[in-house]
Amino acid sequence: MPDEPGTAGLDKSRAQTDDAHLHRDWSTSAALGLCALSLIVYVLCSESVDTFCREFARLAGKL
Amino acid sequence: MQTISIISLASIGIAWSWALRTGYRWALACGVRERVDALALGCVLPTAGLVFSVHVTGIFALLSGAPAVTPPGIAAILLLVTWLSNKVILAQMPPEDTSSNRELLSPRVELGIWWVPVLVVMGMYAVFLVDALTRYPTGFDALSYHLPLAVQWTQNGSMDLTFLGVFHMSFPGNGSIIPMLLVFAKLERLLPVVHFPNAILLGLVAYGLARAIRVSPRGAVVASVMALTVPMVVFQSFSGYIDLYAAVFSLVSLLALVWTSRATDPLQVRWLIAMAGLSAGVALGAKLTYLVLVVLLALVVLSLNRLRNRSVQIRYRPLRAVALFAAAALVCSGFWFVRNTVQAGNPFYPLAVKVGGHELLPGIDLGALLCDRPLTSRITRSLSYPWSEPKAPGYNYGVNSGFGAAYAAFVPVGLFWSLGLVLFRRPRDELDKWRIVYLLIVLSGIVLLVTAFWAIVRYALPFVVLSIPLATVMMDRMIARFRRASLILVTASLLVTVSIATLRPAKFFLGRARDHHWDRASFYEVPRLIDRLPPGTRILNVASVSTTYPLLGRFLSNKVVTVEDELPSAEFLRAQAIEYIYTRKPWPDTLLDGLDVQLIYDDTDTRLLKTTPPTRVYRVTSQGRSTGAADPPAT
Repeated sequence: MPDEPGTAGLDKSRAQTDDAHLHRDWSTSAALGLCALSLIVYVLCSESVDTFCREFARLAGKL
Repeated sequence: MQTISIISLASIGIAWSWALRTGYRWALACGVRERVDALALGCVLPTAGLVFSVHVTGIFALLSGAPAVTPPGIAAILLLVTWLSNKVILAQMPPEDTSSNRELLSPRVELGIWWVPVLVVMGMYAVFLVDALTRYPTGFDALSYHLPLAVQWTQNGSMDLTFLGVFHMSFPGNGSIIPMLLVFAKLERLLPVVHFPNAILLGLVAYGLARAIRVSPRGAVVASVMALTVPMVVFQSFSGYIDLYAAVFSLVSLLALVWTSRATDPLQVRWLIAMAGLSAGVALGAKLTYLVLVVLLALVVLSLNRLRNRSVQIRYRPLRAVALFAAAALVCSGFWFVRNTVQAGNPFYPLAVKVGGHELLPGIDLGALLCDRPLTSRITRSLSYPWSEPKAPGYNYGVNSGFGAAYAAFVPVGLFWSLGLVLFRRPRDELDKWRIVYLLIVLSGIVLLVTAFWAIVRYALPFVVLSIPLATVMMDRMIARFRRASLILVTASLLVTVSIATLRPAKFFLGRARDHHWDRASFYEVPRLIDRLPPGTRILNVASVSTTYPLLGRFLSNKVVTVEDELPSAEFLRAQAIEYIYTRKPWPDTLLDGLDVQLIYDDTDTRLLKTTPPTRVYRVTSQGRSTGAADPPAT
């Protein structure tokens, strides 16, 4: 249950602890890198992107 | 339309709005102190009330044989249900608990530059909305059975099994109830947007579910935006498919259970479990696959004592809670099981019930129809699906396919993050425990996808959506630590999805504008004579199953009998008093043997769109009402 507006269950001491932890958090950087990599993999491997590019090129060719 | 029908439909609208207000106050009275959550949970009462009212008329029609499923009947019961629930619910709660002015804990969301992804998504929905409001309903399943079912109920005044047409029409049909009301109201042009409100509700639920596991308001907005850009969600919002409807209400049920664990009063606990059960019943009554999710939710109910806030000293009997949940679920789904038991001897009809290879109750083995891939193939396909999104043939984004770039970029990594938290950190409070519950449900969904769901991704839609709030636990941290990089990555991934998704509706809209295909017959590429047949004309459809809905005509007044595999006998046609036969190439020549028919329409040489197969329409001249009557002009 959120304790007060905006804290969503975090009491102040816990929020401060988490903030302190945040600054030496290597895992967040790694997660961001993995997410960026995932997006690149999606763009390169997804059949949706491939189909979109072909259909877009076909429409552009018609115009 | 008769005056009584207009008054009745207006009464249904008024009762629905009244029930929504009561539902919102009910949620507040149950201790739901986040405005977004109260709004989402407030939708349960009007939806469940409407479903229950229609079911009561359906039961009456089933037992009496009278056409009881009519707007006046539904309106009368819905008004009664709303009045009773208003009286009962609010009478049991202290007035200060139900006041909409009480202090809510909804925080002010400072979005700042995060308005950019929100605006990107709103732009995408605007394109879809323009397309949907200028066309007729689409979607293979919708045109084949969801919408024809709604029309059939209005024509027959009952929801009885007819054993005609495709077997899918015998499945539970809660998802066809609101379309049925639109058909009653002659508002066919609103059918393409009938599930758009469910997308809005999904956005609210995704926000609420994210907040429930300690995600910040900004992170919860990102969860909501990501859920709304899953291509399956977007496309289903503007089609007649019912998976989104069922998925949303199953997740609303979970949200109600989250608040159950925070309730401070035994009455609040009972009401919230009932609310969760009603919502789960709406989902189960829309699609049988939700039986699995309802069982998972029942297990959550069974564990509620362990998930409660330790500061709250309420304990209750788990089995009694499960019984209440199941009873409430049956209120909104029991009708279908009763109907199918009475009429087909099998509550799960048209599915066969098998135990150890023996068929206990008759029906169809759906697994044999759908399962065309070996298990290993389903596993590799499902696990690589977020990045590969294979689909052949057709466009890759649609009602049944596509998770989107944002999902592929963030959710798998976010799920591993949550798994790491669960494995390496002891849960500190009930919020952490709920994160474990989410994770277990999502993992169950992955197992179900490759086994019971035959790798059909839309069956796993609620699990797909639930994984997004779970992943935003990681994103929340990422947004706080790398604000600009996170914004760029989220916006870029959303732009990829939005570009791919909007190409289709934009292309179709511009194509219709170029060819001036605004009328129904042009849109569905069926002969205009179909729209001019007298009400009640019986047509046999031996073309595609998805032509069933277009053949109902612009007044949705034709009666269409569709056959799928075997051609019906001449005796069947006579028994069904078929007056017209609609065929497309390849022609079913043997069908016409022994029948006195006259070819009245053939566009083999005249059709404009050469990609559409040639069409022929025959008039059966030896029997039926059309004998001797003039045919409408065959243009």
